[in-house]
Amino acid sequence: MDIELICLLAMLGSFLLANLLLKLPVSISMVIGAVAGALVGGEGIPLRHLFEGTFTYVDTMLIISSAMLFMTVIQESGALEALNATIVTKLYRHPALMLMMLMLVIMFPGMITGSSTAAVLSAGALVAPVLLLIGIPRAKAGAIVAIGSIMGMAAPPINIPAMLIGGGVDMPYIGFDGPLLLLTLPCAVISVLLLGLRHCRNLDADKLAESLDLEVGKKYGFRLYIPIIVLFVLLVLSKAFLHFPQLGTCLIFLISAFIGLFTGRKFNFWDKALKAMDTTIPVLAKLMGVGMFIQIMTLVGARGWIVVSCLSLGITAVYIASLTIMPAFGAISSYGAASVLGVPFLLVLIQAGGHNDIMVASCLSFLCCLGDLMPPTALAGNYAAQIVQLKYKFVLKYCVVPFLICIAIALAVLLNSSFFSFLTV
Amino acid sequence: MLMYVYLAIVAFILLLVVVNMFRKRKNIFYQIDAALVMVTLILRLLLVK
Amino acid sequence: MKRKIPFHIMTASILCILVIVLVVVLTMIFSQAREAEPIYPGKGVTDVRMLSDWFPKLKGTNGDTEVYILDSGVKGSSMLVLGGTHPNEPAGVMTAIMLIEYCQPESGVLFVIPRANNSAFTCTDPQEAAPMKYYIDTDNGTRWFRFGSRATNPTDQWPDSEVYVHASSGQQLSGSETRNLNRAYPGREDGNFTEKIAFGLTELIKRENIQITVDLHEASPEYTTVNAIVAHEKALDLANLTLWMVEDSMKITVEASPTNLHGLSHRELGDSTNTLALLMETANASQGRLHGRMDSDLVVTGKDKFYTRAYGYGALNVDYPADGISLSERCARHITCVKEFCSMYEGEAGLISLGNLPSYDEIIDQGIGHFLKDPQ
Ligand SMILES: [Zn+2]
Repeated sequence: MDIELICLLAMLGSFLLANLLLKLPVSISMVIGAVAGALVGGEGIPLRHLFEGTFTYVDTMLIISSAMLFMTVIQESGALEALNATIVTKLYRHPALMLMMLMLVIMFPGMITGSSTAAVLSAGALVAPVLLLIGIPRAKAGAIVAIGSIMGMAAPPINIPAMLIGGGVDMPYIGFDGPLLLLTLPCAVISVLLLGLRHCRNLDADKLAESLDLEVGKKYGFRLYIPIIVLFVLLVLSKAFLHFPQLGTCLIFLISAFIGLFTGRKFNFWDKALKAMDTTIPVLAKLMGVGMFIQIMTLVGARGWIVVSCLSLGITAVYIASLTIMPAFGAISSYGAASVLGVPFLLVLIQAGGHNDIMVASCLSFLCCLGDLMPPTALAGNYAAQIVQLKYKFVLKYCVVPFLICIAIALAVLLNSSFFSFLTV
Repeated sequence: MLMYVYLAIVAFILLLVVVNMFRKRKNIFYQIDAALVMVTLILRLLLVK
Repeated sequence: MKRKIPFHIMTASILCILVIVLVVVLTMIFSQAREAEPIYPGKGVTDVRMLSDWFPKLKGTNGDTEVYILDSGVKGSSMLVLGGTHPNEPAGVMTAIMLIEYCQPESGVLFVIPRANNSAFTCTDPQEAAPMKYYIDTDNGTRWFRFGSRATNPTDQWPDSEVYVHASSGQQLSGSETRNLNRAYPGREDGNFTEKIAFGLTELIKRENIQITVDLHEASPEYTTVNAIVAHEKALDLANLTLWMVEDSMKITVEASPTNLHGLSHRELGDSTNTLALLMETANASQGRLHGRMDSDLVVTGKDKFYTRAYGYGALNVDYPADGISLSERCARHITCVKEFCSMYEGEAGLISLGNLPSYDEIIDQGIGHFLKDPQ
């Protein structure tokens, strides 16, 4: 047995032991797993490597934190309630259309930022209460938000795993829009109708009106929505016009949040900001743990072992691994899946021939994105569950079928990549 | 220029983390989580890494 | 009455002290990366200048870097060798250092920049678990060299935009490429930090009228372009002539620089200056995703059982023998081609000849350390 495999088993073993048996948080379990791997690999406790690994996620940390602050402002100012009331009263007669519109709203921030977390925390949190209002059960509403945010993360114009995979083989990020839409739109539509339509065929307008808060909207009117509009305008401007100053998603969230302080109900910002960070700290720590874990995997050679083992089984196994191991790697990190597995897999598939490179890279990036549903890290899943105030395992149950549909669609496109090559123009 | 804005954001988030760590009765795991985040944020704030 | 400190305040305080200790220790560790390895200029070096001499805005920044000038005194053409565009590709740096310490040109002028992206030498890439130094034995003692990051240190340029848009072409790449010097050419005077470095290098090439520019790189063995010379269309003839000369000692291919891939030295320097732009790649296991344990030995010996296995599965583009592809072999490839570029070049300005360089076989037999100065 390779020493690298022993290290990997030690890492996974001590992680699971700490997380499942000792009931430690994911973050601390990841650190324990990383330290165990380093010890077995004969590296002692390599402080430098442990903390260097965390820096992969500095920017992600800032985006999550600022998105949380933005959401808090939107909720406290009353914009959220007002928006829910508007959507429901305008669209309740056409449930299928309403569901698809809501799905698109969930996806939008993910499309623009390439981050499922940003999607869940901004649009997901806006839409979730609407879903509950129209009678969709909590768990299913959570699943819709989780799947929607992942479709948004994978959808064009920004798909970060696709960029990471492309960057690893010097493939410019051009021509991905068509393939990614082909993958994400059907999955999004099927998922939301499958999960939601049954519950909102016959909506009663009066009943809905009772549970809606129409007062805030009337009191502050249009100006309640200014922060949301500013957010979308800034996000779109900085992506559509290359010469528009690149503020970054993090700063855009904060600017919009700041504006929101003056457009609705007054509240104590400092208190609410503290509360928002309170729920965010465990997620940030989880990212720190993931960073350490992957760095030590690389250090002791466990990363190499995983990739070489996947390659050793031949081309069919690479297909199978793309459909299984790659999304499963999301249990650690979906970006990690893209750079650790996506790049070598793409190279093998390109060498095998008969494929359209861009289609294959799109499929692989799509499969990586699905990893954001994988527990325990499940960035999209956990936050979606938190928004509907449930434990993730209840939400996860309803994610399984859409997840399998996504995998099936990805496989179909992957196998027929050359047929779809007209989309890459 | 943008870098200093982002460093200010890091400082603000760091402040929120530290205050949360001391704020109310939290279990030790939560505090360890906060400490982990603090190390990374401080190292970036000081432009060490 | 003595007030009792609440338990949670106590644990929080202890953790804070721990955090401060960790920060101090880590600051000491990470700051070590800012020390550059010593380079001992050989007899051929006639002048050492700074890149800021050609682009003053770089002065005082972490992007300013040494330019070694080896002027033969005999009229001829000029060549620029770039090492350390990517400091995680050590064969480029080591080849440049060897030229500085060993080479004595017989005609023309040789410019060598061993640390093209100086800032990227001051950190390592997260999740790559790279060693901070690697060690090479010379005839009398061991020397250390800095292993760096592929990209500019974020402490010099941060944050990255989500998407990197190459300025002159509008091409979009992953945001992490914002700090990649070899995606920033030809650079911008008022661009970001990395674009400024690229601009400085372009200025040097223009003002010194450099006829040949060779950018030395390495790639992971599973990568598609490896063991290759990538040439701008103007430099294709020179590359093919060189290929013909070196084919007997090594397996190598010539690739034309793709016209739709922007920001790379072989594309943009060729387009925006008169230089013949060439880029070279060798196979570096420590840079790939398949390697086993990561340490200085892997960097220097290139010996890795996983790569040898992957070669057996047909997953690589290069032959990967069980005893690895050593740094000496990789440098031998670079040196041999650089030398042949010069001997094959017939420019109007005259010839350039890099006398006194060991042959491919000599470097492999005696090791790169033999052609470096002893530690002083
Ligand atoms: Zn390179």
